[in-house]
Amino acid sequence: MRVLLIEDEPHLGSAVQEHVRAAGHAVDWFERLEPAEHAVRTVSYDALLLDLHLPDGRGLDFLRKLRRRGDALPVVILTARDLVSDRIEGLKAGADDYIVKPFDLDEVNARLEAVSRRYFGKAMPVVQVGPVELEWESKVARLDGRPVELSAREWAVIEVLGRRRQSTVSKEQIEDALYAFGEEIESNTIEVYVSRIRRKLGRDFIRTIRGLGYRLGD
Amino acid sequence: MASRSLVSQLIWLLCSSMAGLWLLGSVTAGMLTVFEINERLDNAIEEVAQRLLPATYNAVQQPQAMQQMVRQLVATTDPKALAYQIIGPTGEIVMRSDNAPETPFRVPRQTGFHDIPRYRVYAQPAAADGYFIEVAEPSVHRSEALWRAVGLTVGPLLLFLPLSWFLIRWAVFRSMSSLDRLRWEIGHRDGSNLSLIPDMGLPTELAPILAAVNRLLERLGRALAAERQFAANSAHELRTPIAAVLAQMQLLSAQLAGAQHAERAARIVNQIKGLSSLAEKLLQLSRTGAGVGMQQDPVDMLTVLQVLVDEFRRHEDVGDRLVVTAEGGDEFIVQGELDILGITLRNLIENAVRYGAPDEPIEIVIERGRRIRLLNGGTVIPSETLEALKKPFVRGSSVGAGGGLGLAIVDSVMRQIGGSLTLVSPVMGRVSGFEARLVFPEPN
Repeated sequence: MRVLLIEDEPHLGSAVQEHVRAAGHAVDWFERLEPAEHAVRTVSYDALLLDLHLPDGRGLDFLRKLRRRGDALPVVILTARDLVSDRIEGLKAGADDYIVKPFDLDEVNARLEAVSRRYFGKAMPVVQVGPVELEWESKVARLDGRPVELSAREWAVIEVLGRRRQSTVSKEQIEDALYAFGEEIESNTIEVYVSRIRRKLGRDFIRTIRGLGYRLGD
Repeated sequence: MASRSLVSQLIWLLCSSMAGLWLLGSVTAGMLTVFEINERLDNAIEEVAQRLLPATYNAVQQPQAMQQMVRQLVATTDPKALAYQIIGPTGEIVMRSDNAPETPFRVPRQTGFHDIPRYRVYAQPAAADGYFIEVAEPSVHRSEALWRAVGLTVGPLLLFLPLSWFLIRWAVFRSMSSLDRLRWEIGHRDGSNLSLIPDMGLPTELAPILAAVNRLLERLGRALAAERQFAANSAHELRTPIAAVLAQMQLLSAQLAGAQHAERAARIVNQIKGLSSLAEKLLQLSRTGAGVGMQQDPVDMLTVLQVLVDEFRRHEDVGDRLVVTAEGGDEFIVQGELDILGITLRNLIENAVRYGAPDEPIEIVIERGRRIRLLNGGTVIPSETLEALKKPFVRGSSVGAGGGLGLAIVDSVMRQIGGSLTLVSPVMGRVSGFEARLVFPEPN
């Protein structure tokens, strides 16, 4: 999942970025709305973590603008404002969830993934792909009933494919979802991850559509 | 010292002053009447004596005329009419009216008035030598005349006295009505109402009081709004750096997992969470304390609960444990401030999550009779501890990281809006658990 984080407090922003990245997601972090606005127009994000008080404007105005132009990006607000009226205002503006500072970093990941799941029709907690069973909530994969250990990146690749299960996902789309701006990426990185996943979950778990990309088996 | 009613004080003062003046006026009028009546009656006696003077002279000179005059004089038999005696030179009665005593009046032979028992006598020498005319007025007649005159003067005043009392009362109450309205308006300004008093067309004496009270209310409102704003801003300014410290420390703690200082790092994380919670509660207490003058908007508690329940259910340790049952209709309107009522319910839910049995449901029951009950499992809290829980920094259990402020905040808000918080343990009909019961007043 590629996540856009807008937070002006540098220590908090860096910690959230690091923690979300450790869960296997790519995080683009901006301290101001202006560059974030540019990024959201050019990159296809899977979720947005949004602070409300930013040096160059209000996060809620940014969110309203996003919704006005029909962008359905899942949004989780990170704010120090904990009042019911603030929460109602945030939800009315189009937020999907609302986390009040200070928060547990694990809570951020959990909420982020929960709203993402709601958006991408993965409300079903368990998905079967051939002999492989995927539990999105607990990030557990089972092959013929036996749990298989996957790294965060490997799981992230499966999520990208699972999110667009009915379509073919290009290598660039997977790279976009997994790597933030400025992150070093080798030309064969995605192939390496796909290869590792196939070794663990079976060759047919991920199908290669020649010249187009990948999709989950079945 | 017992306070006295200004109205009754004014009425008493005016009535007693009026009665005093009336008494003084009556006495003066009575005295003047008595003086005047006495003078008139004395003049009348004197005049009668003067008229008898020539007749007496003729009668003395001509005995036949005397006999004629006697016949005329003796005809007066009315005991209250003037009595006459003509005394001869030797002191014998030469002539008298029928109503005069048979013996001469015991008065000196001197011109003038003399008071003797039963008569006031005017004596005057007759025109003939040695003769005296004595005209006597019965005291009964004079006193009757005096009493009648005084009665006619003072009596009507006596009738007006109760009327004056009614008029004074009416005038006082009418004049005090403006003050009464002002008093009512000021009396209705309290923690829940600091709105300015409208212009009531008060008299010039009271208008400055209204203006001064309104200025004071305005200043108080501004001060409280500033305090609330400060609390809200402080919350924001404090939470962000605490969030940064907590997040960085959590990262460090994760990086130290399995290392020598991992446990210490975890302890610091918990300390930061505790500090954060305490700071938040103190700000909430300050904010709800500044709820003096909180807005009086109609707030639907069901909407507030919906937002809070949705929020808490997203917490891993709550989820579906939070069960809501609504017995009432589609609305539960309470007069107050949305955010302060939100803080109230949030604290109760947090309290149930923190101290309730983790494997038992947290029930929110919205009942008819404007009640909201929050029930959670857990051991029984002794009754003597329950009331103390409403005081700041008192915890019902040593377990949990609470600051002991949540229920104090709830109690403070409920009292401000005219409602109540009752704590019950065990839950009614059960052998364990804790119940917080909120009763809200009817909306205006």
